[in-house]
Amino acid sequence: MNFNFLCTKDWILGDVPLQLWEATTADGPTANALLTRFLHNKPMFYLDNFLRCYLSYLSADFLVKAFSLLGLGLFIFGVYQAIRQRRKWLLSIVLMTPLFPLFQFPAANLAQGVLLYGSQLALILFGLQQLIKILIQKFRAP
Amino acid sequence: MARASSIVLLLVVILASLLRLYRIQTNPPSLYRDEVSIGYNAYSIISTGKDEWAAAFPQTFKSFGDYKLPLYIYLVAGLEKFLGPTELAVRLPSALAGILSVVVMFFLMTEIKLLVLKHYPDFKFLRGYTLALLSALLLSISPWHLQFSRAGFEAGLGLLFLTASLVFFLLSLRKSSHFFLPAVISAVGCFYSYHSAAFVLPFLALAAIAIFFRPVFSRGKIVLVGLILGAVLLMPYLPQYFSAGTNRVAFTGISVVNQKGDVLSNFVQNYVANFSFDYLFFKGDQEGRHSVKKLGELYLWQFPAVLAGIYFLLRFRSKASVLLFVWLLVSALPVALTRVSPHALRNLMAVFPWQAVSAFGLLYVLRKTRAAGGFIFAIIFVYALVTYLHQYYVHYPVSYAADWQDGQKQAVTFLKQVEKNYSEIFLTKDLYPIYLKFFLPYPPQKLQESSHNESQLGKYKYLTPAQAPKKEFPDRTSLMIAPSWMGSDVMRALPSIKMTNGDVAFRVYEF
Repeated sequence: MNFNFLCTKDWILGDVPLQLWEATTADGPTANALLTRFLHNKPMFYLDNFLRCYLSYLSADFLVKAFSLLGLGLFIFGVYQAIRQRRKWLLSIVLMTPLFPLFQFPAANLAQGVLLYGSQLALILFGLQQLIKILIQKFRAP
Repeated sequence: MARASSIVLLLVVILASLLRLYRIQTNPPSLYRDEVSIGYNAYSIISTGKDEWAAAFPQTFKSFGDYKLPLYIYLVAGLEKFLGPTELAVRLPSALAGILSVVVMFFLMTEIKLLVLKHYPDFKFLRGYTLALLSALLLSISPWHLQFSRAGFEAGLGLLFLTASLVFFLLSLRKSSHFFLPAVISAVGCFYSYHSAAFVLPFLALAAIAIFFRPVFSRGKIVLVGLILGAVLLMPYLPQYFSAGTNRVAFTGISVVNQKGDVLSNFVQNYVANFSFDYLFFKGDQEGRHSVKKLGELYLWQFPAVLAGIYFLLRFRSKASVLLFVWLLVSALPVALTRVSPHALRNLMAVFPWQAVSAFGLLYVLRKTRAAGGFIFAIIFVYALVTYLHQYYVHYPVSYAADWQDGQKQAVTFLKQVEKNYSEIFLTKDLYPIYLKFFLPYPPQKLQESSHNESQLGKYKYLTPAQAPKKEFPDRTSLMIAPSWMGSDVMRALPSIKMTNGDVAFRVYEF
């Protein structure tokens, strides 16, 4: 598990102005200013970057690095079962915890990691429990 | 099919054609090395009946030693008969395959929808052709599919055959078993067009047979005929495929085995990378020829649609769900077996199931949406499309011209204009011989007669930068095309050769 989170608010705030500069420069000096504004603007760039960083903590490659392929499978199964059973609390927690490393709160990386990985592990365990339950039901069925 | 649906399908095909054919010769900004090799081997075939290595009508083309599959090259050869060795001739088969794929997507989703409706006949939103039309529309504007349809990549052709094979297979089960034969012929087409398609097809075929076990074996006779036909059609391919040269490239050069670290762990990481959100929705493949790099392989608005689609297909399980999920999972295998991952080109076979899942999700979410919701979605849809087109037509040719080896064609065009003024012309390997051969064009017979000696092509001689002249020659009868970094005090500099974006590609010296 890696507790050194790189996709954070600070990184975004530092990088978006550079991204905007690169995009507007590539449009060239003869570009229509309105079109450049329409396509390369701060709200869209910030939205895109914050979404990207937020989702990077829920992405398959991130989960595999943290919990292995089996963990990823159980995580997906857990999400599916949680949606089906309308376990809103569990889902809310899992969806909320990527905000901790993203906004670097609390300040200690370890605390951010414990919150993030802890919630994901809870969902994996929920997935495992559901899987066992289903298997038992299947074997018991005539 | 209803008249309205036919008209919408026609409009989608027109849109797909426009997006794939508009400025196809100039954007991507230049022919890439592999495209030029395809073009020159095709030219060699129509001129001499042999490839550049003097192999008569080969089943695999040695090319740079990467042993290209033959079908795309023969298609280009057919076009070069009429268009000559040009960019259009090299890229047109790929664009046409892309346009046809949109039509095939429509028919595929019509069949897939019926599989879902068989289990869940109450799903009104799946009746009619909305799902099939939406899927075709999504494929027609897909940045992933467009990227590879607009350049001479064989992958688009492989994808077309793979999907056509599946459509014919499903039709053979639902309508007439005679569709099984075109399914087999299309499947064989995969083996002759693109390695990833050939890799994915057996897995998908096995899955399809497992899913439809009973109906397949109830048609035993035609299945047997199909298998024999397939084996016969594959005969010329198999010996070439298992030959030492091809194997060397396929299994060692780019294999995961040669990647640093533990093989199994690398395999898993490579595999999963093809499902990362960053790759799918935000940044895409980071190879300049494979995407515009600033956007994902799918549109960002497709993210909720994909999630909803996965949920729908899991919640309402049917044979269609299994087929689409197996397709998605298997398509990442060719990438996982190689060192570079994610890789949009080798993973191209996944573009169909991603669009299909996305279309299911979109319809599932929008089924109860009122006009306002539809209007908001339309705005997001148009904004995303405009952003992509802006990236592709404005940013891409400027920012990634070097990835397409821009400047090589300009150099050869310049040489063609001035060659009569010089007795000798010296080149370094930075101007690849294949560009010289294709754009001059250099007679393939001469190359074959010289046992493929590329160190001298007519008056063009290759040397290393260290061999450049060190003293002044007053008569100025020789020319040298040098890399952009090379300076000289003894040779007279002429205006440099530039790329589309204005960067210097080559320096030109007279001595």
